[in-house]
Amino acid sequence: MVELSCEEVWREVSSYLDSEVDSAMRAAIEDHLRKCAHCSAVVDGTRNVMQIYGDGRLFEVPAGFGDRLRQRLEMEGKRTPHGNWTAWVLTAAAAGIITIGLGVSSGTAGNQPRLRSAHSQPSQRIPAGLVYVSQVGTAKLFHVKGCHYMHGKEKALPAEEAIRQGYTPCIYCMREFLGQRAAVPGPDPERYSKSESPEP
Amino acid sequence: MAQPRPKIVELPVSARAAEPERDEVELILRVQGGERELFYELIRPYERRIYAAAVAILRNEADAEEVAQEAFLKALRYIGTFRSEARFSTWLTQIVINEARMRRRKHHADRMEPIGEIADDEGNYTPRDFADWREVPIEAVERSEVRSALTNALASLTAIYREVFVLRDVQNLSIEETAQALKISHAAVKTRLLRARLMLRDLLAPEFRQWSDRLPFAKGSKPW
Repeated sequence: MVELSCEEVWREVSSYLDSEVDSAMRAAIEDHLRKCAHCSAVVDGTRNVMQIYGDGRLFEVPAGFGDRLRQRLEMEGKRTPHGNWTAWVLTAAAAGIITIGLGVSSGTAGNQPRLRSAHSQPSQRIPAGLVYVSQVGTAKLFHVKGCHYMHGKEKALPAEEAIRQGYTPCIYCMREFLGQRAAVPGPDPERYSKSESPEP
Repeated sequence: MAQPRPKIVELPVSARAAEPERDEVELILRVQGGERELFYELIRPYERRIYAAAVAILRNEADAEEVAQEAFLKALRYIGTFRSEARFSTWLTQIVINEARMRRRKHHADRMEPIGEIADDEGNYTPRDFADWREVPIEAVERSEVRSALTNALASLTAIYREVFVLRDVQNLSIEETAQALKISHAAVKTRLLRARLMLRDLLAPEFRQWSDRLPFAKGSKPW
């Protein structure tokens, strides 16, 4: 049998404990260990270290780890199109909005499609007579005669001139140009209809 | 009158070992087929292992939990790419190692600290402590001072040794799987593993001797 030195045994400790040495090497190591207390202590200690760390109890997961993980996985599942129809609907809606947005922006450059929103339509019913303009900061508004939002300090301008200068109708007057009732809370519509608004 | 003992039909060892694997393969296929709600059931047996790998690399429990969660989320996202040539546990381990290494690099970059990854030392490691080893019973891990000594000793190893030791001795991956997970050679795994084991033994020997009066130590038994 080959006699091993201590250094040779130390080099093989790991493989020996993993049973990855051949039978001749195993016999030689075991023969050495019977005679050498130092190497026996090294092998005993190394084996014990492997057993203790390998037990698994050393690395306990923190309390609540599983619950927190499950929550995150559920959230991830909800974000996944395959896993949730709501996510699919939202994705489809987002794609629709983008498509409409692209359509509107490309329409301004070339063939302009019909705008979908009534509020986006070009004005049809520009007042024929005077309107009353006011400017507060950068907000430039005009009112038709009788609008209850007027406070008496407005300047009268022909409607087309006011629009050319960048004035826009106040929210109530805007309804006149669109010919629709805006669904916003406000004063009694009957009162407004009785006002002396210009005829289209 | 003594009750007759119920007859227990035991499966052969090979069949018993194969059963959980078969269950796992079936679970994987179902999750891949869209039953994503089964994913937690699939990964539950690996929670501790994956967390342990993250702790070993990062040495910080809060970061380790976050990285372990990220690794599981990534596994869920990419479960469709998993092929059964590798073990599922090895695949998960590879993911968590990548995530933990990325986190470590980021933190080291933030703190301007060296990562501490050094080339393998070709020289042999000489054990320092030759005093008679008194075996520490596994139950001693329940004691906080023992647990603390074990985690501190592991944390004091350089990353390359720590990673190999954790995959091989904590996670019980084979040498081949460890090499595959860490993308290093078979020989490098063996060299690092030997050094890691001997270094840990040297680090722990004085600590354990200090407690020898208080802990139920026994003289190491030799199986040969």
